[in-house]
This record gives sequence, structure tokens and C-alpha cells, in this order.
Amino acid sequence: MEAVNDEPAQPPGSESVAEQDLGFSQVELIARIRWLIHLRWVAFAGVTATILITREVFDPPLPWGRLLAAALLIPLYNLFFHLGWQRARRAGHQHLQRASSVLANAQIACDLVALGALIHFSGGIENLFGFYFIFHMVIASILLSRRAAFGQATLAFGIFAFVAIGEYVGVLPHYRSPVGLQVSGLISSPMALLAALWAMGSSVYVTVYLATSIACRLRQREDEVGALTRGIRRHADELQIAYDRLSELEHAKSAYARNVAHELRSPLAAIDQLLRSVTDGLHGEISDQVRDTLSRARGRTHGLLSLVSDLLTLAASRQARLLSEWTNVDLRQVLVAVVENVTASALARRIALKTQVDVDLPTIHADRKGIQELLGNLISNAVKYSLDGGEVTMRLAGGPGSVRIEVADSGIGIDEPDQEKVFGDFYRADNARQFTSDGTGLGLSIVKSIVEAHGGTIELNSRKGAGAAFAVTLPTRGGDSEIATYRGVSGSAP
Amino acid sequence: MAGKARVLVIDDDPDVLATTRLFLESRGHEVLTAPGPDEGMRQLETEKPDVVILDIMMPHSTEGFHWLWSARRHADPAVREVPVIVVTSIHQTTPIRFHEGDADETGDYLPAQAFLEKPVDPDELAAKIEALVPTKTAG
Repeated sequence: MEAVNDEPAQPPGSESVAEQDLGFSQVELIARIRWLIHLRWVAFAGVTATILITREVFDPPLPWGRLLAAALLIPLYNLFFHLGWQRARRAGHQHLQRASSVLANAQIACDLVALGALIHFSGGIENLFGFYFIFHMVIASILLSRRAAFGQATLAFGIFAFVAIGEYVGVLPHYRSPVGLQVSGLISSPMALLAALWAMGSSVYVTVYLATSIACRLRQREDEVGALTRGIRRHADELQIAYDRLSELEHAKSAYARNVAHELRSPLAAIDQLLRSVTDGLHGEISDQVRDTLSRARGRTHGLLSLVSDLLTLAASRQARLLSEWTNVDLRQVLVAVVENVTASALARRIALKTQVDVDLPTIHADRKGIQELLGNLISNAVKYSLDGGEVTMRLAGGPGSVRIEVADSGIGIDEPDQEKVFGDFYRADNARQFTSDGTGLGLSIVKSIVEAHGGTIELNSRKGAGAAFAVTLPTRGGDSEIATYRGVSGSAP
Repeated sequence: MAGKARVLVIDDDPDVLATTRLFLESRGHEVLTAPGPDEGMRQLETEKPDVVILDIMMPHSTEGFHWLWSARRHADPAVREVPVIVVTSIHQTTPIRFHEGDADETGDYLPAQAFLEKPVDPDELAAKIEALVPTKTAG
């Protein structure tokens, strides 16, 4: 009876059912059962109104009391299903899942019985509302398994046949319908009876066959989609857990790096201060030889301090999120500060420092300390490996969505086979070692890590003995995306 | 020669305390030393130094930070406004904004007047002190 209302279905999953535990079609079924119960109240109102209006308008000789009694069956069993549904919901999802299939079958069966009774009391097979058996088959095909849907088709056909044959043979009384086919002799002709039975039987079975074929395929697709969705959700959960663990690890590494910095640097700093107090003569006069030896010791201490600093910077830049001071950075200002730091050593060796900056150079979203390290390392390297009286050229240029930093020197250059290796940890080319012992071999590793943490690129152009030119390209909005793939810290870095 | 500032040095490393004392006394300053934050606060309240040299990482953790904020919230204005030179070896690895140049739009940075990385160059330290306490160190 409910198909008088053809309103769109509620979306599946509108129930408070834990969908992730159920198949997609199971969720659909649970949602539809409640929908059927709601719709049945409307159907009851429609049927009752139709009966009362027909009686008032046409007043045909129908058994009104029995007709209304048949209509009253609808709210009675609907109330029973409503209570059953509520109880199943309270009992939990597992119970609801089991009950939903039974409830769906029982509801459709009751609807078919009620429809059979209403048709019998209002004209039998002459009554055009007999077609309502067909759409019940569509509902059964959508909601139930194929086997159950064919079972419902058999029930529908059985009820129709019982009414038709019962009225034909006189076991059941026949009432003339005011809205029926009114075909004279329909229920008295055996051919007409057979034709009606054939029409109804073939209609319900073909409908179920077609509808279940389509429903099965749709259900299969829905189950596939459901399985995929659950898979994606599970992966997302796993990713979230992994991300949380990574964040914790990152936090622990950050604290670890800070502690290592303190634990390594503090005693080195104390040693340096102690040595300095002696070389400064604060404990009395010392010979030049002692002063020279202690100065060498201080030089080694400073080398160790540089190494610790470089390792920590490398660790921080490889752990991109440790570069936590993402802000708008004016490269011009950074360049000025870095050039200021190297000016004294450049002047001492008569190395010319030349800068060229685009007038409209944009600021970049970056880690300030990282950028200071990047420029500081490139420029101090350029000065360090320049020949006395040489030249270092620095250029900052803006491009579409990026900036380009170029640092070129006229120094000792990097041999072709070394050009990849110089970006590795602790690697120093032979000619660099021969040129100066000062250096940890981490400077360009740090530069590369910082460039990568900002989503940029670095190029090197050089020939041995003919200087080196580094070109770094950085995006202006480097800190916006989830930066840099997480990279562990290699080697002995914390 | 400049000199005669009353300097309180707070550091848990006795070698650092001893050498800093030597460096500063050789430059004519009066030096008080405290091996921890509690003793440092006590001396700050009672001895009223002209300037404080403060280590950040002390025995347990970053007590120097907490010490500095406590000093800045102190009821006594003389204590609250004492110039502080932070000396640390963790500048490089901490996300804390040490000075105004590092401050973000919130302007939230450590309320110290100067920062030095360890190991400290005695001449640089003396220059900072003289810049912060000009009236006592002038001439």
C-alpha cells in the first residue's frame, strides 16, 4: 500500500548505526525499514480516506465493515514492527542487523496479505489496485535477497490466485467494485481467469527477476564502494596514528638535540674559557711556547664547537618541522648581515665582495635561521675557497613565485667527480683539504637540507681551478605546504 | 679604563663561574657569583647588582628562562629592571625568540638586554656590560 507515495528515499546511513561495522547494503536495508514503517502510517491514512470517500460519493454495495477492518490491520502490524524496530535498536547493532532482514520480509508479507484482503473486499481481480502487487515486488527486490524476493513474488501470486480462484469457484464472495474493470463475465469466464492469473504471475515474477538483477549489481557496487570507503578510512586512521607517533618522535628529537647541544657545547665552552684565562695571563705570566700550545688547544676546541653547531643545524634542517620560525624573510637584510660577517676575513685577503639585488625582490615565507645558515654557508665557503685578491659575486633575483640566490667565486673550484659528493655529510674534496684544514665538511650538506626543507633546488657550476657558482631557487611561499618529506637524521647527528 | 660595575653571574658550571670572575675582575668589575637560580635570586634581591649574567640551561632544565621571567615580575622595581645578559649554548636549537630581531608579530621574546653564545669572548662580554651600565663604567 505504501507505494502510493513515491517520495525519494532517505539517504542510507541516516540512522545512528555504526556503518563501519556493516556492509553498505545492510546499512541501506536498516535505513529503509524505518522508512517503510513511516510510510505505512501515511498509506493507512490514504487507504482509510479512499474507503470513506468512495463510500460517501458512490456508496457501492461493498462490505464496508470488513473493508475498514482490513485497513485497520495496517496500523496494527505497523505498530508491532515499530516496537520491534525500537527494541532491536536498543539491543545493539548486531541484533539490529539480524532483525532487519526478518523485519523487512515480515513487513512486505503483511502488506501483501492486507492488500489481498482489501482487493477482495473491493472488487476482487476486477479492482485495478491489484497492480499494487507489482510495486511491492520492486520494493522486495531492492530490499531483500533474490531468493526472498522470489518468495515474496510467490506469496503475492498465491494471494492473488487465492482471491481470484476463490471468487471464481464461489468459496469467497465477489463484490462489484465501483472503480474496477467492470468487465462483464470476468470472474465467470475460465479463460479470463487464466489470463488474469497469467498476467499477474508473469508480472510479479518478471518484475522480481529484472529488479533483483539490477539490485544485485547495484548492491555489489555499493558493497565495493563501502569496502573501499572502509579501507580508505582505515588507512586514514593508520596514517593519523603514524603521524601522531612521528610528531611525538619529532618533539623528542628536538628536545634531544637541545640537550645534546647543551651537554656538548657547555664543557667545550668551559674548556675554552679556562684556556683563555691562562693565555690572557690571569693566572700569572706564561712562556710563549705554553701560550702557543694553549692557543692550538683553543683552536681545536673551536673546531669541535663548530662541528657540534653544524651537526645540530644539519639535524634541524633535515627535520623540517624543527625549522619552526616560518615567517616572511627579506633576503636583502639577511644578505647584508652575512656580508658584514665575512667582510673582515675578505678584506684581510683582498677579496672583493660584489652584491647585486633586484629592486623588486619579493620577501619569501621561510625559516629565518635556516635562510641565514644557507646564505652564511654559501658566502663563507666562497670567501674561504677564494684565492687572495679574488672576487665573490652574490646576486638575488626575483622570478615568478620564486627567488634565485647566486653565489659565485673565483676560487679553487670543484672537480667534476666531486660535484655530487660535496653535498654529502663530512665530504671535503682533496683540493679543499689541501687549501685549508678549516672545515667540517657539513656546510654544503646543511645548505642542501635547508633548500630541500623549503621545497627549493640547488645547482652547482664549477671547474677545478676556475671558481664555483652555486644557484639556489626557493619558492616564495615555501612554508605553506606540508613541508618536505620527513627525513631521519643520518650519521652521528642527534 | 672603564670598570666598577657590580656584576652577578648565575651559572651552574663552576669553571664558567671562576673564569668569568677572573675575566671581569681583571677589567675592574666587582663580581658576585651564584651556582643556581635560587641563590641567584637571593643575591639579586639582597646585593642589588648593576647587571646580571645569566645561563639558561641549569641543572634540571631551562631554569634560566623561568628565572628571567620571575625577575621581570618581581615586586621590587630595582630587581624587575636589572639589565640581564643571557649567555647560552642552546640559541641555535631552541625555537624561543631570544631577541627583538627574532620576535614575531606578537612581539613575544625573552626579556633580556643582551645575548651571547658560549664560549664567551671576555672583551665582548665587557663591552656589553659597559654598554648596559654606562654611568658606572664610563671613564
